[in-house]
Amino acid sequence: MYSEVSTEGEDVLITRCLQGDPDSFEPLVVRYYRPLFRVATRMLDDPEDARDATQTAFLKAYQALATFDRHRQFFSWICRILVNDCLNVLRARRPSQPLDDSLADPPGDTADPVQAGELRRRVRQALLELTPEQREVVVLRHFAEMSYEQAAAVLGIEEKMVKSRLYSARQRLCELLAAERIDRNASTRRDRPVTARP
Amino acid sequence: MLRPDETDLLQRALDGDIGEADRRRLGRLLAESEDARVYATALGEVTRGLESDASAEPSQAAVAAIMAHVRQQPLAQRPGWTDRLQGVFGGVLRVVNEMEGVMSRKAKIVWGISATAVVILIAVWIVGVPRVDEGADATIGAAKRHQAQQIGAGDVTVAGTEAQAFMQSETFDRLLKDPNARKVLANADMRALLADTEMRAGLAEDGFAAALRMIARDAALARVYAQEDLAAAMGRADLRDSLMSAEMQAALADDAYAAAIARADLRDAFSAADLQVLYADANLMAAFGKTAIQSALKNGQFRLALADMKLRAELEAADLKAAFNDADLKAALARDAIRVGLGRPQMQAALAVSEYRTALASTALKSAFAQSNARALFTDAAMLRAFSDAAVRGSLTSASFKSAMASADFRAGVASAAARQALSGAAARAAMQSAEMRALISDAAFEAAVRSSALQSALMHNGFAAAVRTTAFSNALAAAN
Repeated sequence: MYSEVSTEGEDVLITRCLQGDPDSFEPLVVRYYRPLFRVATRMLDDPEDARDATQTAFLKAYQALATFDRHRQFFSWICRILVNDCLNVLRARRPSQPLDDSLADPPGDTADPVQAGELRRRVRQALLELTPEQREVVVLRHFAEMSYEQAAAVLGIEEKMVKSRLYSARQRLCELLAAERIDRNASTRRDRPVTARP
Repeated sequence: MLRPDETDLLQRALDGDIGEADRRRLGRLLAESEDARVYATALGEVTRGLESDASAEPSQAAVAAIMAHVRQQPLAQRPGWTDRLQGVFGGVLRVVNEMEGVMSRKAKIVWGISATAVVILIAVWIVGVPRVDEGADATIGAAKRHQAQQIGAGDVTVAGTEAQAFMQSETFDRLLKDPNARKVLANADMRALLADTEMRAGLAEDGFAAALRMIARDAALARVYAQEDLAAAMGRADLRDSLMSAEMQAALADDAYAAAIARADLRDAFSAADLQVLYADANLMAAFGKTAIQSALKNGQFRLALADMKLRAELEAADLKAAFNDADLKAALARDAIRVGLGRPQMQAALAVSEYRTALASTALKSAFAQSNARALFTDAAMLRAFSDAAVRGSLTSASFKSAMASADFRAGVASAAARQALSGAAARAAMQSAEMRALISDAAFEAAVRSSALQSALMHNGFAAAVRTTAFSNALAAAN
């Protein structure tokens, strides 16, 4: 997704904003709202919070536009602002807040949409068990589809640290899914009606 | 049980981060290890769960809501020159302290630096730069390092009657006795910088000087502001802005304000934020902290260039700051010729153009700066005249020129006296404006011609050089391509 984002003309738009034309900021909002909202949604697991965080990130970026280093990618910069805000929201929350049911699963493109939807729900639930640092790197890599390098630029850490966090996050997700499967199977067995043996 | 290197391999394979050898190893691992297959299946499941998700589409309402807020709020301004001036002070002071080997007590020193910087700003504005016996300073040996000699009151040039109150204040007394302040003021670079007429003129500008004057006029207030925490707070842009406002200046003149600000709880409120604002610009601070830049600051013309308001404004540009942080450029700045070049009006005019700054930040030009012949090119008077021409600057920023500059032979050719003279001609500059000329520059045959002794000889010939500079020649050149 990130790779689809064209950066052509961004410099011109930013220059116009700095010269007093706020409308030049609109193409940047249109261009980056989707990837940023997606990152925020997966970080916060709450569409309302994600919408607020995305809006706040755009407003903060606009206010601080004069300090933006033109050598950097605008998306990396604003994404870092967003991720920092999301982490602040997460820190203010209690851990493992219940999954918001309003995040409806749209149909996927897998062969079995029911199974695919169930897998997404389980993985999203497991995401909440990760540390904020693990979650941000998973979100950037898998939901924003950033490379290690891009994620490192957004998070302000080294690439090898991105890899390390990503690997441990995925390892943890595997463990959580396995544990959840065991619980589910045990629960199914418990709930199954006992039938008399012939 | 999988080994760490095996789980690492499976994880990297998931991201497509493996080479051919790893791919073969992965195949063997999956064929031989049940654990590897189970782990790969689990990772695949996690990845499918993460990536088969829907996209969030931007709604028109969301975009409109953001833009409504954007249109209502003002853009934050770039830090003003006073911020950068404080940054320079902080950088110089930090270097001085590093030399003294006291950075182990980093936090304390940072606070101390800020307090000293504010006191020095006040002192310099009011009384000028105290004279310090450099010879005596130089003879202070290690054994006497802590036997700090004091700056005598007679060593200070009094600039006006309003300085009297300040000179009688504890703040000034503290400045005179403070060994750190004494060393800072004794530092030749610092004194040269502070004594610079343009810099002094800058200190006297706008509300900044008014606020300093107000603080310095009242001994009690000066004492309060000299406290470390308040001095740190003064580094904050919002507090400085408020100090410059008419309302705050009126308040500063009020005794009640001085009494109020002396309260510890109010001081805490002022100093709640750390020094991030003061040192917000890490790149610029790092650049000013480097030996090469310090050395450059010794150069009078370079200081004059720094004092130029327009150039100071340009120093704010991120791309120029990045260029100043580059190792090659810093090495170049350590050379007298480059510093002289930077001090010239033509170079300053060139630096004011964003495309030129972009060119400076390019890898090819930075590499070129490391070459002595290219440095000569950038400091030559004729070339400086050429730099002031928009067409030449335009060609300098072209990809083809940067590519050409990466070639040592091309640099040698262009840096020759004859080529420089030819390039400084109006016709040559006009020719460089054309796309064809830029394409030609990057051509291998042209490069060979430029470095050929035949062309060098021809260019040395006055008649040929004159011909090259004619419009007809450049037209012919353009037509030939």
